[in-house]
Parts: sequence; C-alpha cells; structure tokens
Amino acid sequence: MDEPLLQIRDLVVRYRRTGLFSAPPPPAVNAVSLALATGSTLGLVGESGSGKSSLLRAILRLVPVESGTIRLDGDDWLALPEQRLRERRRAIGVVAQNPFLSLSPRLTIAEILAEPMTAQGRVPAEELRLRAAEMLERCGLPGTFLSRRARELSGGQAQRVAIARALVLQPKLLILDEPTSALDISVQAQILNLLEDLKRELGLSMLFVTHNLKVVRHVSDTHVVMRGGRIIEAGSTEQISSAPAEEYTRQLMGYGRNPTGAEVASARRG
Amino acid sequence: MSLVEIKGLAIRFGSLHNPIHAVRHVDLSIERGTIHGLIGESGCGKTISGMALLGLLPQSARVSADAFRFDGLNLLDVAKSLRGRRIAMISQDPAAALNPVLRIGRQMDDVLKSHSGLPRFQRRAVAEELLAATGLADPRRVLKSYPHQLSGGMQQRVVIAQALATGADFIIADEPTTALDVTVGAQVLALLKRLVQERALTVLMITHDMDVVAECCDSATVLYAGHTVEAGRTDELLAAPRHPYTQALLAALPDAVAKGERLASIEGHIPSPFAVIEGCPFAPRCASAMAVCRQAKPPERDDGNHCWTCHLEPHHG
Amino acid sequence: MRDLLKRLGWAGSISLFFIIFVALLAIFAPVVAPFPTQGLGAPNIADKLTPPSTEYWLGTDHLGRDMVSRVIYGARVSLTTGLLIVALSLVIGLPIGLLAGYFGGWIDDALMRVTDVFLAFPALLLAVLMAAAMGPGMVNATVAVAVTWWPWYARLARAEVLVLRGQPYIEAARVMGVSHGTIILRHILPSTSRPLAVQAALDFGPALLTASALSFLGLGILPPTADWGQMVNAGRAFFPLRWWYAAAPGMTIFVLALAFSVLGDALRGDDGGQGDVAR
Repeated sequence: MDEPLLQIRDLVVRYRRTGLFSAPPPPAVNAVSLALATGSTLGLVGESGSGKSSLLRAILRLVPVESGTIRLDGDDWLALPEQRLRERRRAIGVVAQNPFLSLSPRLTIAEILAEPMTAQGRVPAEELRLRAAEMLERCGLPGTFLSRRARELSGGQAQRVAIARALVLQPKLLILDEPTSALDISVQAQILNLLEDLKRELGLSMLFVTHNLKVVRHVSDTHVVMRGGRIIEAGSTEQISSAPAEEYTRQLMGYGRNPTGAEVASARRG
Repeated sequence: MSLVEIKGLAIRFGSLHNPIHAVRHVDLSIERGTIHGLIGESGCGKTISGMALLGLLPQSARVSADAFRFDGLNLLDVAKSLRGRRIAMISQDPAAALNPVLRIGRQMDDVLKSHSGLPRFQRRAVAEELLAATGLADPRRVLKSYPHQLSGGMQQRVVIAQALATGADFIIADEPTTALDVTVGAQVLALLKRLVQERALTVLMITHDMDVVAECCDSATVLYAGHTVEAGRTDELLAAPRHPYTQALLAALPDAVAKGERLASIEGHIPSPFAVIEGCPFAPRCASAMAVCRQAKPPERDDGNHCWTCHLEPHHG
Repeated sequence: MRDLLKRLGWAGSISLFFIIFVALLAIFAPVVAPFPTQGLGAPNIADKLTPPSTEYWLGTDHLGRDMVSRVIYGARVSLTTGLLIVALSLVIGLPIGLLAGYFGGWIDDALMRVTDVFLAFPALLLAVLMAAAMGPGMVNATVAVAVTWWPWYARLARAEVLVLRGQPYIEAARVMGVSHGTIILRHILPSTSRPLAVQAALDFGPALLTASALSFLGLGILPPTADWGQMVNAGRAFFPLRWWYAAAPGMTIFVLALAFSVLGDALRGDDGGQGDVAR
C-alpha cells in the first residue's frame, strides 16, 4: 500500500509554562499518532480542550512541537527550514470555521484569491484573475463575485470563497476546521455537497475537524475522537458509529434526534 | 389557556414606503410548563420575535399583531414592566452576560436585591440555593469566583440561576448551547428540562439546531422568512413534518441520508427583508410549488397534532 | 465628504473647519495678513501697544506690530512644529510598535524596554538640555519633544497589532506562505492606521501646547519670527493692563488645541453607540 499522505507519530505539543515557578502545563497534544490515506477523509472529533486545535496548529506549524514526527506528502514536515516550508505550504489548503473572520475585510475576493498565488512568486495579473475566476466557479460562485468584498456575501457564499482560496494552489490535503458550524442547516448541506464534489473531482484528501459527530459520520471514511490531548477512539466511521467503544463517544452520538435516512424519507412521503 | 398567545405578529423597521420586514406573520402559542422551540435559520426573525416578547425592541421598530398576550395581558402595553419580573432571558454567550470585574456573589445579590426585598443574609442563602439548584457543585466557591474562573457551562448555569433569581416564570433562551460543547450543552438542556418540571417554568428555546429541539422541546414552531410555517409537538414535527420547508430542513441534515449520498439542499435564497411577499414565502424554493402558491397566502391547516400553512392538500397514508 | 461630516457630528465638523481655516490663513499669510511686513517682524514703533481698534483688530505689541498679522504668521510656525512633532513620533514609533507586536518574543521584549527608557524622559527637561547643547531653534525643540513622544505611538501600534495578529485572516495568510513583510504591509498596517490617526489628531493639540511652552521658555523660536508661545511670554510683561498682547496668541492656542481634541474625539467616537434600545 502507498505511503499515507499525512502520517503523524507520537506527536506531543506542550505550551510554555506561564510563570517562572509554575509547573509545566500538561501537554495539549499527548502522543498522538494518526494516518490519512491519499484520497480519503479523516474526521477529527473533539470538544474544546480536547487538543484538536493544537494538533491542527502543529500540522500547520503554527506552534512548536515538543516531540514526534509529521510526514506530509513525502516531506519530514517538522524538519523543513522556514524558506522551504513557505514553498511546501501549498500542499495544504485550510478552511476555517468563520469565513468572515478568515477572509480579510479590506480586500476584494479577487485579491483574496490571488494572495496564495502571489505568495509563491510572481504571477501575471491576467493569469491570477483567470485562475481565481476558475476556482470560484468550481466552488459554485460566478466570476462577477471577484470584485466584491467578503462582508457583502452571505455566510455560505463567503465560505465558498474560503474554500476556493484554500484550493487555488491545488493542494493535496485540505484541512477543514469546523467549516460548517457557523452556517445554517440548508447552507451546511450545500457546503458538504460541494466538498464531496471537489474531493472527487480533484482527488483531494481531507482532514475534517468538527465537534459534530453527525457531520463527521456523513463525510469521513475514518475518524478519531480526541479528549484531553489524547486519541481515545479511532477506526473506520462505520465501526465507530455502529459500535462506539468509549462511553464518551456514545454520549456525543446519542445526543439529539437520531432517525435513520429511511425514516426521514418515509416521513417525507407522508 | 396558553401562557403566550401571539397571532399575526409583524415587526417592521425603516421607512414607511420601503420598510424592512424583520417579522411578517408569526403565530406562536406556548403552553404553561413546557419548553417550546422556536426554530429557524438566520434571518427568519426568531431572535427579533424573542426580543419583542421581552420588550427589548429598538424604538424604531413598528410592531403590530392581532394578538400579543402573555398570561392574558396585552404585551404590547406592558412588556417593559414584565421584563425582569415575569420574563427573563438567557443569551448565547454567558461570558458576555456576566460582568467580568464583579464576583458572581455580587452579581447574584444585585439581582436578588432588586427583586426579592429580602435582607442581606437571606439573599446570600437564596443565592447559594439557586446556584445549587442549577447543578453547581460548590455554590459557595462559585459565589466568590469571577466569571473568567468558571467554565462556559458553569457560567451558563450562573446565568440561569440569575434568571431564576428574578422570580420569572417564563424564560427566553436564545441559542443557550451554541457557544458550549456538545456534552456540556446537553447538560444545560437537561438542567432546563428539570427546572421546568420542578419550578413550573415555561421556556421559549430559540435555536437553529434540530438536535437541541429533539433533546429538550415539548413542542416547537418553525419560522421561515418571518412567517410561522409549522407548529406542533416535537415528535410529530420531527417525524412527520407537513410543511415543505420543514421537510427540506430535516432532509438537509447530514444524518438524513445514507453515507455517500448527496444531502438535499434547498436551492435559492431566503427572500429579502425588503421584498413584498404575495403568496407563500417558501414558494420560490419549494419543490412542490404550484401556481397558486405564488399568488395567495396559504391556508392554515390542522390535523389535530400540529398545524401548518400550505396550499398542498394533506394526504393521509 | 458628506459622510465624513455626518460621522464627525456638528462639534467635530466645526472643529475640522476651524482647523482648515487656520491652516489656510497660515499658508496664505502674506496675502491675508493686514500688515505682512509687521507679521514678519518689521517694527512700527509709532503705534506701539495700541488697544484693539478698527485698524488693528487685536491691537499692537510693544513694537507697534499688528497682532492679527503676528498671530497669522505665528500659525505657520506653530502648525509646522505640531505637525513635525506628531509626524516624527509616528515615523519612529509606528515601525517599532509593528515589529514588536508582530514578532513578539525577544524582539518585543527588547524593543519595548527601549521604548520604556525613552518614555521615562521628561520632555521639557530634555528640550532644555538639547537647547543648551545645540542652541535653541525649532528643529531642536521638535526633535526633543518627538523623542519623548514616539513611545506612545509604539505602544499603541503594538497593542493594535497584538489584537490583529490573532485574527484568523492573518493566520490564514501565514499558513498560505505569505511572507512576514507582506502580511505587515498588506494586512496589518492598513488596519492600524485609523486608531493611530485618531491618536495623532488628539496629540496635535498637546504638541502645539508643548511647542508653545518651549518658545515661552525661550527654547524654541527666537524673535523676530512670530510664534504664539513666545508672544505670550513677551506679552506677559504688559499684562493685565495691555491684555490683548498676551490674550490674542493665548486664546488662539487654546481654541486650536481644543479644536484638535474635539476632532480626535469625533473621529474615535463614531463606532461607539449601540443604537437606541428601549429601556
């Protein structure tokens, strides 16, 4: 079998102690290992304080790592020097939870979409616009949106722009950090469908971070549940949803309404 | 008689010629001692309707209603005086609802002082009791704490305790669990359910989350574009929705279809708040829309369990 | 323009117009001053210490020069000094604050300790020392004040950057591999410009006052060049009998400083109010 696109081994992230005499805090990420196969979607589930954000930030190299390794697309990711890292960052696209915060309020959509490309070197203005418009259309927005600004868009539209930005450099790995939890239900459905299409068309691998197990169950092939910095449950999505081993996972899953697809369909038929 | 009885509520802002319709036609009926969900997506007018109940609308709002009653009183006249006595509010962000520089004890005491008229030492005992009633394990320690020393779930419990301290019997909870973790949110909902039973409270739960509705609401009202489109008992509503919008909303949930299948998304956009709506507000996006849907207001239908507004003839099967 | 005035409110708008009016007077001093030569310093002993009249609206000074002309010419010096102090403080303080806030860590520590050292200098004392060492003059006075003022701008810029740095869109840019320089210039600098502009407007008044104080102490502009602070000082000898001599420049300083203060407040205050919620 091929090498996974992303392979994390025994990763430990610990933040600096707060005072000179205070004890070092417990690790935010504690000996986490996971693998994401090329072309698949890995769901990462956890609540606040579970360490999922720290793990993400470590993958993005925004926080220092205490020990462990990350292999990404053949690179020893944590050992890449700053200059090389800047080039290789194009292997990852990131979509954050709230598009209105993650898109600069001052720039037009065209400028926002151009930014990742110009960060990688000079690109002719004509090509910038062309590629931006193409990716925007792929994400379901007409090219006329290029001259708008983020605040003129609806939440769903802005999130489409954020996805287009993440994909404009054709990354292999798309990291989605709660991409739908700020959106309405009907918009969430649109975005999830869009992601599914993009994954198929572009052969993307996805790391899908969320606290919503139902969303994870829908989108991911495998998933891990994090709590207190550790992975407490990992496996294929079918396996975890049908027979969660941990009480905590059961709690997460047992919440709210749990109809099967068939029930809803029959209800709709009335 | 229902505790809250609203018929044909409309709230407009802006100029008379080109008004912004925040709420167009909301009917809402809440039974005593129940938790009633007010469901809708952003822009449907659910929060504005809650604010109207609280009498918290800006002065520029123009409110009209066929009926707008709380416990038999016309709220259009007396809302201001009921807020803080009969009606309390729990907001989405408990951290913002508490003053960051005052201890919890002081903030509880301030509420009790203005509502109970008890002497100081008794107020303290009542505060402790209320915090304990909201499931806080160590009320004494909480009273001495500042808000930032408490977790989000504990803060929300304090806010609920404050709502109880006002002596209110009707609580409007606006997305009270959205800012919390799922498991913590579930605990807060369980707490509200318990309080409703123990203290004969009535709760209006404003939410966009069907899981929250399923978890705690006895009945619910679905809003779309400022209209009430469907209302009924929760189990009926979730299992056998009658209005096409409710059906579409439920079908759009990620667990509504088998894995790998496409989710049913609702095409199009909600109507602009400036738009004039002649027929059914959902008609432009409705899969089963007929010509009449765009021209005439849909009739109210009732099958005994719940009611909805739609031109489609109900078919039993 | 209409939007700006609406944002400023009536007090802010009046202040803005007054400041523009004074600036225009200063720029076109040779044209608008009734006695340009006297404004530049030519004596006119015959009319010395004339009270305000139809010929000399604000009277004359001890050398018989028309106070209106002197005050108008004085505006040139005072406005330039104020502008230079604020501009110099910005030029030094802004980059230091941006770098300290953006990079954090030891860079932040080092830059902010240096900033603290400069913050500890008393402005007037430093100005006295510099005047003693390099002789009085407008440039020296300006530098002396700016040296003690830039730390405020550094701190303000740093505080703004600290808030911005945590914004998801800044982080998104970093994750995309955008260079630090581009992030600072493209994303951070534009967002810090407004609070700094507000601060600069608020500081213009105090800068004016400090410059006038320096001249008053004989450390700034030397006669015969007209300067408000220096004029107040000279007029002191004839106060209160010849009140107009000290009052004309004194009131001008007061009103102009007030105008800047009101304008700064108006610029800052427009995103306050939460709307009129019924209570």
